[in-house]
Amino acid sequence: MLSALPALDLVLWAATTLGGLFLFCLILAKHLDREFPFLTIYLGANLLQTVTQLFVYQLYGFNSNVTYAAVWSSQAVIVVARALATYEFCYRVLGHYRGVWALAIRILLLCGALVLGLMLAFSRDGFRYAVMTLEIASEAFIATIVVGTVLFARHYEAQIELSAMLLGLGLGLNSCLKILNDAVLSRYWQNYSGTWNEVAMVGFAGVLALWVFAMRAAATEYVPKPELRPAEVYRALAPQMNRRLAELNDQLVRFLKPEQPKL
Amino acid sequence: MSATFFIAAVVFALLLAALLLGASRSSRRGRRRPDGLAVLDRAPQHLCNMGPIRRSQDAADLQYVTNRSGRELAGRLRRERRDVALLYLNSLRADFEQLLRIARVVALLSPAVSRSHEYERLRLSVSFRIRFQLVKLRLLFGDASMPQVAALGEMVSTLAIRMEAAMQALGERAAMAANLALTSEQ
Repeated sequence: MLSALPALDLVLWAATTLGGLFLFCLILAKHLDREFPFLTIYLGANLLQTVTQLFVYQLYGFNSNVTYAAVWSSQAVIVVARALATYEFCYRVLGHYRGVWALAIRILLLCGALVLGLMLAFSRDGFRYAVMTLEIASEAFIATIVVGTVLFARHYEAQIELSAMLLGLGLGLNSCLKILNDAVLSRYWQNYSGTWNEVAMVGFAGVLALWVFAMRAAATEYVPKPELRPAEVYRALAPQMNRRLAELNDQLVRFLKPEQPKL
Repeated sequence: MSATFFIAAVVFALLLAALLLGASRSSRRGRRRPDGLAVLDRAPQHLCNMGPIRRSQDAADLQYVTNRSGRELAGRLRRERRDVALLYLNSLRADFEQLLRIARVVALLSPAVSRSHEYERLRLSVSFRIRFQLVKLRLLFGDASMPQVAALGEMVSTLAIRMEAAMQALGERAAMAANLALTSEQ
């Protein structure tokens, strides 16, 4: 049955499977599964999905309803596993900073949920491609959280380890590519259905390469944990800082007014 | 899939990818700051010079030069005063950024932060940046008159004194809190 697939698809499938297997073994060999448990689970689930797909395709063919249901159900599990790996990335970047983490995770989840809801709400007319729409929305959720985490880290000037950065880049770019790929497929089904799978696999191969570098970096880098200050310092300083910033802001407001400002 | 949703999804994905690449590049390159409250030692430095700058913006000086040396020298003086005003604005921004950085370090190293304080700071920093660009444009196009600059100098001079006192108090409070933490650990 698999021989019915184009040669390029088979090569790409083999390459991504081997890449995933290599990364999975690398994580286990370097004992990084304790540091990245959700990423390890995600990669394991991905490999399991490949094996399952192989059996399903052999037994039921490519066009049966059973295949469709089995493949897309397993994809739901994969998306959930990737969402957990995304949480792991967020925690690695901001988790050390308890106060900022408590604030960031709420805002990120809120933004992610908002994007998910909007995507589902505005794609009602695309019910024909309900599975695609659901995947686009869930990928948008993941991408929003990854990008939000990096923006939070940038805003607070929190240092991001190379391994975490590469992991986040992989997760974010993978989701963005999936959104683009699914959107083009839903819109131009006739012309794009043959290319869709190949684009997805090439993208995933690139992401796997990023994660291999991430794991190599994680195995060697040492990251000291930041030393937090008493909560009293923030409670005392934050309002005063904001007041002074507001005063500096006022200088500019007065400067903009045409009349002579008064002290 | 409707054309609108297709365009929205494509734009959204491209925007997120660009943001991710841009933010990750700048997060890894040249944004490493010293940890801890040591940044408090580098409190706003420029505002203490506001006295001399205020005096340099005196309108009577310009009038005097115009009367004594003619329009050419007065024009040159006006341009130089505008440059001083621009430098002054930049110093104001540097102080704002410095204060902002201190506040971020304090928030980063705190076990609990307030959402309202953080949101307020974000709002202030955005509005400051917009206003700063507006004021700069007005100065560059010669719209802001010297008396206004002088008045601003006076205001910031007053602010500098208040800020210096506040920063001293903040430094003392931070040191006190650190000492308290050390005592409780012992």
